[in-house]
Amino acid sequence: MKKFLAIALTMSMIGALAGCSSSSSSEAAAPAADDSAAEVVEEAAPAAEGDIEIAVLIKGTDSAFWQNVGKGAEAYAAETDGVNVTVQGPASEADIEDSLTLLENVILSGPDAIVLGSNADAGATAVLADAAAAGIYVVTVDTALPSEDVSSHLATDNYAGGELAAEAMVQYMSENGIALEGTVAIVAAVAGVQTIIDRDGGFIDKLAEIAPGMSCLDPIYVDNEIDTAMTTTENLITAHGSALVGIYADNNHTGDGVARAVEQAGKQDAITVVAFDDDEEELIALANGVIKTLIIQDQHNMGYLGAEYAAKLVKGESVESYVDTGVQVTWAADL
Amino acid sequence: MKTKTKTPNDGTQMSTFKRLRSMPEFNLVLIWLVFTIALSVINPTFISAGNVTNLLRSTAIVGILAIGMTFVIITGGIDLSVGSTLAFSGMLAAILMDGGMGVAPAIIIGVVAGTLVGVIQGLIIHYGNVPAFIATLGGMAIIRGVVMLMSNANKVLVPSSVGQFAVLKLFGIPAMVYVWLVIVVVGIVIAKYTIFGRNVYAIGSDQEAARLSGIKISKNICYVYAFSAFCASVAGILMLTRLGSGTPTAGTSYEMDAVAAAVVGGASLSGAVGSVFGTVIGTVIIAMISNGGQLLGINSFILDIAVGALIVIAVFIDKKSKKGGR
Repeated sequence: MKKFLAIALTMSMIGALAGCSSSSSSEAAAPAADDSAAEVVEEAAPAAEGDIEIAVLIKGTDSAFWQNVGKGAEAYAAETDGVNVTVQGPASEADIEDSLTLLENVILSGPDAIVLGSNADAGATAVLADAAAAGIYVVTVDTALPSEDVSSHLATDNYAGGELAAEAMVQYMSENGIALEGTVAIVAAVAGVQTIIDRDGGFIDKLAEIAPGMSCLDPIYVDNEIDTAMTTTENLITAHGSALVGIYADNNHTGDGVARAVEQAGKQDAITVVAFDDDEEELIALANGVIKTLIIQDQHNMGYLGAEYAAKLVKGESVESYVDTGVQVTWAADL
Repeated sequence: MKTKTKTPNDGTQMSTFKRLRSMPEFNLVLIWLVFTIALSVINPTFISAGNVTNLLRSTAIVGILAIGMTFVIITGGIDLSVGSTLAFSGMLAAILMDGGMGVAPAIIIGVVAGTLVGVIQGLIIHYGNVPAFIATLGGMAIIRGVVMLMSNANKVLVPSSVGQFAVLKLFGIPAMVYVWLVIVVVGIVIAKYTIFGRNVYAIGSDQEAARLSGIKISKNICYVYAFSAFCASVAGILMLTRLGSGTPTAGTSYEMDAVAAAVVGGASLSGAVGSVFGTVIGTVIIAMISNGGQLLGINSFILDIAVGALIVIAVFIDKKSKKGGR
């Protein structure tokens, strides 16, 4: 019995230690943030004389997309002398609150610049004001944030990407002699995120324009869970039967789930699946003919350019305020 | 429908209806029947073999978690760590397979390691005198952290043969559903026909009285959390076969789905009340709302509201009818 008490005590001590170290570091950094902006900029300046510290904050570490953004930024750091990059993020894109907390902590740690991919939307505005006050440059990637304190934004034009997805779906159906009628479903990653809203909006608008005979269901949100995306797809197949002619999955996790469910139902010939992004399972599904087209973003470039722009800003060079990093419409034949 | 309800002690003959009415799960089965009939009338696809298959397959994982959770709740405890334990067993098995271990040993190690997590939590709860809510809340975070550390928060792909199990069907029913069924039968047997099962109810009813009557509380508490973790580990392996990869965020918030299923199924968070059969019906009713809702094309946010309302209403009706019956 004493042994177990000892274990429990040890565990709680470890927890307490972890708590101490994090709180002491924030205490050390907090006064800097409270000081006047001018002083803080002076403090930031000597750091720039040494290596340029760039913090890259990604939306979720469980996503191949965001890992590639991080790798792009690391590739820039590896090629460039005097630039250090650290990549951090919450485990899942759905952890919006965690990503905000992480951003706050990173600002307190005082890097020279932050390359930020965040779902936090307006929640990030006030936090980014703190970054500006601390003299930290911010470059956003993928998702724009409503903040005056962002120096540059690098992203896929998601609305245009959604339009390309609709065009690809219609092109595939036309080329394979499938009538442009029936029901199309959208399996959407998360609700209330601008990137996803734009991707779905572009798809819905374009589909209505070029294939008015097809009806598009409201997006079904799956909390970015592959399992939920699968279940949703299974239910859609059962509910709509042969009327269901197409499914649009608007990111990598929804693409994985939709492809798995369609393949298991043996419906790859009856349902035209078009998806965003390119993680390993999606590429396998594309090669197997389950997914017909992938709308692939250049996330490596997004991370690379993000780090490059951040470094340029720290050096006092000017950068463009918005860059479309582009998408690639990829068919199985392109692999 | 067969009923095994015994005639009351006073020996008076009851009508079939009255006997059914006296079953604790009567209201629940009624709600389930009403839902099934209503959904089938509105959309006949609901009752089709294809949809019933979908429904059962998508319910199997939470269904298994909920069986373990039922036993925990009957003792008056709660296990918030099951979602993390699910991810842990699946990820451990995936990493072992990725490292070249055979599928069967990897799965066994995953389940055994996951079950040990429950044993440790049971020991902390009993010997450390830490409330179950706190111990498993901490456990939830610790185990999830371990999963992230193990996997570096990446997905770990497993051989495609592992994924075959999720699509395997016997007599038209997905293999995953049989696993759920086995756990359900094991649960019913434990609850009704073993000393351990009776002890679980006794501990939930009055721990002090149970101790005085000679029940070893520590052993039984450990068994209960071990069984819950075992269920979570089995569910984790099923999730692994379904997704075809060890997924670090798998099972996030599933602990709440499991608690909801048990509560809708009539289990009381204050202990001593609950049944495996009730939990199964509870799980299926909750799953029917999202499945039926998607069939009818109902907005997914409205379905969230409906599930929440059901949890509250189910408990309300249960309390009301029991008061009236006495």
